[in-house]
Amino acid sequence: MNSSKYGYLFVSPFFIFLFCFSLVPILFTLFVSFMNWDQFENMHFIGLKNYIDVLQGGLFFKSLYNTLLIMAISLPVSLVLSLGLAFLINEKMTKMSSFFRTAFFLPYITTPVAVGVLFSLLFNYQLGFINILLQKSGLLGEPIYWMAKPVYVVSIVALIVVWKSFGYNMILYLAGLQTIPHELYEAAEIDGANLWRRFLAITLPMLRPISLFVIVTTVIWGLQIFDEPALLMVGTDSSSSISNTLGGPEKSVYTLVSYVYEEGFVLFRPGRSAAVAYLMTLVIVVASWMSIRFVNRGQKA
Amino acid sequence: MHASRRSDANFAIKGLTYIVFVLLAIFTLIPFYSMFIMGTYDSYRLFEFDGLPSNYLSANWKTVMKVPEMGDFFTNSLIVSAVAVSLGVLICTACGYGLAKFSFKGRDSLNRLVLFTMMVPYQLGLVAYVWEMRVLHLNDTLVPTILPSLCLGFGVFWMTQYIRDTVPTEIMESARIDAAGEVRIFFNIIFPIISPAIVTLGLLIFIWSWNSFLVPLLTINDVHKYTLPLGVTLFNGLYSTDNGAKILAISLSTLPVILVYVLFSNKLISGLTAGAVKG
Repeated sequence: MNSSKYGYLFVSPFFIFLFCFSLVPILFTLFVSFMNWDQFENMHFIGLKNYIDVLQGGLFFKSLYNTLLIMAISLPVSLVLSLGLAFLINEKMTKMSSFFRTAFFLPYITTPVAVGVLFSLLFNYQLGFINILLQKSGLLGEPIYWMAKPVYVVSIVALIVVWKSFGYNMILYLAGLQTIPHELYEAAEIDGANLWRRFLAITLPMLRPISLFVIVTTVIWGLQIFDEPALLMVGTDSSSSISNTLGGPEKSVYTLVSYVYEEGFVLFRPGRSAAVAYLMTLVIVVASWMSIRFVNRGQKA
Repeated sequence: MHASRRSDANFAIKGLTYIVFVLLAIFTLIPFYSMFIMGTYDSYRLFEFDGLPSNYLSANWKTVMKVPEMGDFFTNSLIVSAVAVSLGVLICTACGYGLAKFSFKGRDSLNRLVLFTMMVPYQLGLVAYVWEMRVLHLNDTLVPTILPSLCLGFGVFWMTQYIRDTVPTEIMESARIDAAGEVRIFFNIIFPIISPAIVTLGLLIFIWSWNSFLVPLLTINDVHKYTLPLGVTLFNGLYSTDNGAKILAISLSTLPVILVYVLFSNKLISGLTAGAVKG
């Protein structure tokens, strides 16, 4: 029929681009992950050796641990904050003026590279705003050298993640809350349920689908973090290159993508980089699946 | 009596909520505020930073402009974003329209393929993508930075949902009876109906492509072809001790995206939430 011909016409540009510049690279990366390849002529099959090397090297689990640690610190804070705020707005405890909405969402759209540089300056040893503020207010005698200690660097990256994500998540929750019929709350209020009871009995269960979306997207996004930690650490030595300071002190913010980047484009071992990329994707798939299970726990399908 | 106690409690919660919101707004905005203000400081006097502007803006501006390619960085970023937005929106919308309103063989598999590409991290094919660009002699051009915006599974998924929900099939049918061509129907009838979604998707692609870092980092060596995020990194290295100028450079690099966002934030946010609730 005539209609189907036009259907193909409309969808084909996208799928041609997708095939050439997304699917082909993804499949070729899978192929490369089984090869020893110098990016030029020499390429030969080595089976699972890249995967075995990566898994035995220790750096994979180190980077996985670092990435998960950043997520474990920041995700609960971001979720509690965003859900709490959205709930309070929805309960008309405050007006959601467009000023707050615009402000809370602003970090989400800001260039990650700039965010990394900005935070490294805010936490600068001598000149950073944070040390100056802490000293002037008398909380701190000596300035802190933030970029030297793993615990500080990990906390700063987690802070960036919270700063960046809570406004975005809040807006998604707010949209979810607006789909809950208001009669439910009115009935609960007549029955004498206070704010906290209403939150537990109505809001949380009704928000299950949107929570699923928020948690899964935050996990997927968080597992791919690279720009902010990389740029946060640039300039903490005398060089300007990202590779020199990749991962920060004791490689504490060396993330999964840092590993993909270093193997592929600093050490020029595309086979291993490809293996890391596939292992990372596996982690993301498993983490998404676990988030779905977590949100839907106790619910019989 | 009972009622007044309750309204007292409500009043207290309202007061507390307001304070929390103000504190969070400060937490969110302080980095931006200090970024723009620190750009007016002489690096040697940054330790005197007290939250008020200083008098060194023009000197820092001159330092930033000492990098002769600074103008190129802006132009390149603008080209990347302009092409990515116009082509990305067109391609995703056309595909969403096709998937939502036409029935053809293989449509379900294509829908599943779109979902699959949404879940796969873009770094998965990175090694091969960079190699592919080199083989095609597209290195040191802006093309590799633009192409990912033309393969956005998210954009197609979102457009498919939106068109399915908002465009009545009768409109297309009555236009066909008037003997309008399919391409004309798409541009003249469908586009205006779905313009809110187009604006939102366009803004998202603008933000993503403007902020893109890893792909240009790996495909562009020629300084004249650097986009702003790369330019900022370069400047960061060249003037690693001149923090005042450095911070002015990052302020300038984020300013366009912040301006676009502030102008269109209502459209962006309402569009996003509409999509999220449906999806």
